[in-house]
Amino acid sequence: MFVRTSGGTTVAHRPGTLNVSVFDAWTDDGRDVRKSFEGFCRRLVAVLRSAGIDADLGWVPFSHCDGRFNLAVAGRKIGGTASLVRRRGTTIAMLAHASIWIEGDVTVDLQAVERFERDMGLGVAYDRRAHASICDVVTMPEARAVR
Amino acid sequence: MTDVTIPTGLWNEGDEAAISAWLYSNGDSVAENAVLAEIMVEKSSFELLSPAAGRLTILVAAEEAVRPGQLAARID
Repeated sequence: MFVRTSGGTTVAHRPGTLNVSVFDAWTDDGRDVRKSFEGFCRRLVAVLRSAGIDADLGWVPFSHCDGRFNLAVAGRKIGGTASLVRRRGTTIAMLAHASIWIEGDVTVDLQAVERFERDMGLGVAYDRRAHASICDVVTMPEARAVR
Repeated sequence: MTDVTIPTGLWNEGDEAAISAWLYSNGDSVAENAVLAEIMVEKSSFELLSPAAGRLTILVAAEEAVRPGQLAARID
């Protein structure tokens, strides 16, 4: 177990999950930092769509580590995102990252997450049907992006 | 006495924000620019820095919602 300092809750990492991290820094010009984070998430959506997967951002009810910037396909969460923002003087730095299920058994990951969160006294249960890997969704007609 | 306020201009005022953890306790001595607390805006993590050195008085409990510009603590 490792504790990350960006937001969100428990996430399982293993071969078959793709982690993407981007670091950016700029002089504070008053822009909404969250827009920069959203931009990172939308770039991931664009990559998935270019690969023929009809991805979008949004909440997925009953998914683990749920959030507005989930990567979702056909109502299922295929990846989560989070960010860490630091301001020093006039410089703002942001580390944005995503963890995306490419392949493998999502159920096993959810069981591990639930077991850990139960042990932490959180008692959270998630719906397996709210999650999928990219390999799970590529065969679903509703997951195909129009190109 | 120096006010410690929630940073402004980093996120949209309509976003839900909360202090996820104080890294010091009430009455602790803190240095200028010390990271006093972490603020979570959905799944983005921000810092609350100390604007001065002194003794910390916490005014907003962890897990409570906060908004930009809100008074969160004082340094004496």
